[in-house]
Amino acid sequence: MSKLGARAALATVAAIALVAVFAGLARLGIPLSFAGARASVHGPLFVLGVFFTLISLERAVALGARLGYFAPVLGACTGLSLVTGAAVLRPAAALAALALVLVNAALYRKQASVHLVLMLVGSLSLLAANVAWVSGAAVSDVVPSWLTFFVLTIVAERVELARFVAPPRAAVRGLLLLGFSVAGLTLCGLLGLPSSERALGLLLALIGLWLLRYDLGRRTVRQPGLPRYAAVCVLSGSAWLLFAGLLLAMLGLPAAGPSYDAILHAVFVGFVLAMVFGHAPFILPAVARIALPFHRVLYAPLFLLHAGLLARCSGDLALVPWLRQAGGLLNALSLVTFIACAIWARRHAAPGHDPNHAFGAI
Amino acid sequence: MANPPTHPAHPERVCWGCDQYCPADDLTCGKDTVRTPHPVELFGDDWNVPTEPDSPDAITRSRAIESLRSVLDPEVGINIVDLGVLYELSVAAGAIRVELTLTSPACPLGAQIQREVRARLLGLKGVERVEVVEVWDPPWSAERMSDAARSALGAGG
Repeated sequence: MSKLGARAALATVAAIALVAVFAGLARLGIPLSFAGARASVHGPLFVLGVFFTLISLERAVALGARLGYFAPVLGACTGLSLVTGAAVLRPAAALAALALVLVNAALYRKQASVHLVLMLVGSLSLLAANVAWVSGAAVSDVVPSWLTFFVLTIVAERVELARFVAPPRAAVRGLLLLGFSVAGLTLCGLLGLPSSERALGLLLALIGLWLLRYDLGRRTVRQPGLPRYAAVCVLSGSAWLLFAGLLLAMLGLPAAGPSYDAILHAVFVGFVLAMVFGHAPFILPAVARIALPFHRVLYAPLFLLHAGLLARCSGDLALVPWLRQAGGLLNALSLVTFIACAIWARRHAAPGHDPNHAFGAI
Repeated sequence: MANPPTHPAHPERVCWGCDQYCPADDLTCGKDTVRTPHPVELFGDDWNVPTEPDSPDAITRSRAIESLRSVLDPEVGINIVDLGVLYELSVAAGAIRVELTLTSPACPLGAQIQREVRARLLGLKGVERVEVVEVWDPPWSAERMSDAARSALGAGG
């Protein structure tokens, strides 16, 4: 894909994200007439239209083959079908997942490695979920499998990066086992076999703990600039995964309601969106050749993300609607602030600034 | 006394030790027991051709590698040389060939790192062509990191 193509894809994702944010605000009871109709698809918009498209774009760039870009294009199509309500485009979700499965399989063929197996299993989980969703399954039934896709994809990346700090072999095997168990458990749930959301919660909590203990971020957080910022994003995101896991282990996953709201947002905002924030400064130059020089101001949206999520989950658990609303607003603001800060950081980079020289220990 | 010839026809017949230039076996000065050779005998025909510091021949492999120490893996904050993802770098007549791996095929930074490697090497004087080849075999492993990289990450500690 050309530089322009990647930029167009990112602009589409940003537009879908904007609709998804407004749909979320409408869902919180903040009246926005034009987004009210999309309130019911707030979750799928973010999961399939935004996060999936970003991850599959990242993999397509890694693969470097033209065919790989089918996945993000189909992801964007899914998002657009949800925005416009065009049901005809909805099967794109299943095709998009299939395309990502093929991309991950091609990456595995380049170099056989266990973290790529984990990534592949994650995309298979997404494929199963999307086929079910396209066939009419409720979001609350497929959401554990969506969650599995993101958790496995991120865990696979972190397992790979953990090699830099050489954690004990037993710890690495343990994390892989946790990842595969998550996939097995959610697949059973999707197929209607006996499964336990509480056990899933325990597994997610253990993964969160693992990342807090062994992740590369524990070391890079001591470096200056971008590596530290990325590490703070990963570690704080892992804390939210731990929180979500514990909550799920204690409360289970009802089909709706405050605990459902808190658990899903802890995973998708606390864990996944924090990772997106942390990755953007080096993924943007790689994907779209948009240099995003690191600047401390990028910590502001991250702070808003965590503060907003804290308010939201407190509001959920203590049944205080205004606190939940305020948290949701802060999270919407954190996304807008992130984009604004990114533009600001670009403008305020020193002339001739090379993003690669803004940091670096050795 | 005239300057000695730079390329005498038979340098081995003369002692070049002082400005008397006696025949090889005379050694009239008495300072030495064997004749002093002409520089052309020691260093070859181009002994008096000054080497330009930035001529293509002066591009050394080590200079190219040094320049790649400014290409960093942004997530880890460590340059690609210390990271051990640079497998091979060969220089021949203004052309550099680089074999590069990544820590994972799923990493989207490959093309970006290749662009930077190309830019750094083409920035060196005398380099006309740069070929960057992606290599996946053997796979990267943590043992390939330099001690500097290891200590920066506190690996195993």
